[in-house]
Amino acid sequence: MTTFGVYSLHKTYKDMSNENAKSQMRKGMLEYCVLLLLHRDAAYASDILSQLKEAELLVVEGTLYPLLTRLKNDGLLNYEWRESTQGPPRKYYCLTELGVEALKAMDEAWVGLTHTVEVLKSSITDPKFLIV
Amino acid sequence: MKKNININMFGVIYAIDEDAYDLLKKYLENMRSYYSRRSGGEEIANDVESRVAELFADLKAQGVEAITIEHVEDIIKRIGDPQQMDEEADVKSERVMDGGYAEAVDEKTVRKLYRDPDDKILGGVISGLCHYLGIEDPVIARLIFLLLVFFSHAILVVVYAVCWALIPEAKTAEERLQMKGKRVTPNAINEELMQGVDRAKKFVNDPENQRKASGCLATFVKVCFFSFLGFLTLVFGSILLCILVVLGISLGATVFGLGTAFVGLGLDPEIVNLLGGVPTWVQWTFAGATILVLAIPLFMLLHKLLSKPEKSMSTGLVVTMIIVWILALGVAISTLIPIAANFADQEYKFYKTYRTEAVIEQPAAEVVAEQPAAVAVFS
Repeated sequence: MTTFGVYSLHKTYKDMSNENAKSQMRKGMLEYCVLLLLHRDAAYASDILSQLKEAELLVVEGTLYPLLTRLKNDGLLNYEWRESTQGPPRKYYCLTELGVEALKAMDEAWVGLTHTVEVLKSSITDPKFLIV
Repeated sequence: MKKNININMFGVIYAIDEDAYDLLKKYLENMRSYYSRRSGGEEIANDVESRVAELFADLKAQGVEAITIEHVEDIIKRIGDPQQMDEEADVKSERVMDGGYAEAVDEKTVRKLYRDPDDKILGGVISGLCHYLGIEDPVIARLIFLLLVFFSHAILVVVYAVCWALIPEAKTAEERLQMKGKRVTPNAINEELMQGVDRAKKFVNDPENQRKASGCLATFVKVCFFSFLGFLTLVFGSILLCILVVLGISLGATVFGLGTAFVGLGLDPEIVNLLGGVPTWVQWTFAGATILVLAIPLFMLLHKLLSKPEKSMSTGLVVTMIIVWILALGVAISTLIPIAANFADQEYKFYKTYRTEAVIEQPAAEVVAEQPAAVAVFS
């Protein structure tokens, strides 16, 4: 883990290491979930926000924006400006080909991870592995 | 009741309270400056601003007419401050490291000398200096400074004025933190902003205070004005005092018999006669009126000098005092006329007596002088 990550652990979640672990999981998932959502449907930032909030993946809304910008700069996303009747013009995001590829790679990683986790979970019931 | 202004966000007008606007402005500026060091940072800041506008539009659609500071605080909590946003998003990205965040970790706390605008009597020089030196209470420093001014024959006043002109005032949240020597992180800035909001809330009821206290020139004028008032008070006061002394004497004279008192003071009986021709009541009216003519302005001056600016006398009282003053002036002048006339009259009589005595002296001399001539003729 980078110094950055360690610093963030100390700074914000001083006394809640459980929260730490959870938030680390969330952070890892964020990018993957954003790509999933956009693969399903192109969407506005606010739509992504509401869905991520529902899934309790997002605590602070602002988190999304640096992420979206980074993904766009890396070429995984693209957007177009769309006018709105009640408010400012909004960015309409969609996945690029590069993004779809990245998504596939993440999918594989995800499958591998879940498999490992499942194996670990089921193996714990076996008394042989309770030494740990 | 709060002042409300209109703002234009992406072509749409929103009505927002002034204090809410100030907070929002600082938040967006903070956001912008935090991400300015990053590539694509401007876009992030724009996205945030867009999001705020979206939320404003939602509020408007819900029927909210005026956006209050509570709304803005809620929105800021929802979107988060720059640090929170960064933390959540970029776990693995190394690119973030050259952004503002790593620098904030390694930054040493720099303490800069600023003038403190929140704790100032004249210009905030002493309090700013105390922050820089780490002295907690500027009051003691101010007392010491005044003592030194006294001993330095006011040269320190010039030094103070120079400091006032040269040392900058800590206006932004970042500057305020640097003045106090606290680490400038986005978290701290946000806290400082919120604190500033609370202070601003308290000050909403007292904007006159701020305007009055501002300005080096205004303070100088204030000092001049008050010393002039003090001078006037002295002048009026001493005149009044003299008259009161004289009146006290004359009061004593009336009680104990006019002539005796005056003689007792070694005054000539002739002077007594000067006043004698005028009836006593006229004298007393004149005396009373003159006292009022002098005492009323003196009272107004003292009231202005000693009482706080907010506590001024009711208009009715002031008007009454002015009317009484004008009447007193009229009475004084009108009673002065017979007294002055009497004075002139007495003076005339006085000189006439003197002249008569001299004239009587002369003919006697001439008669005596003529005698020898007559004798000479007959002999």
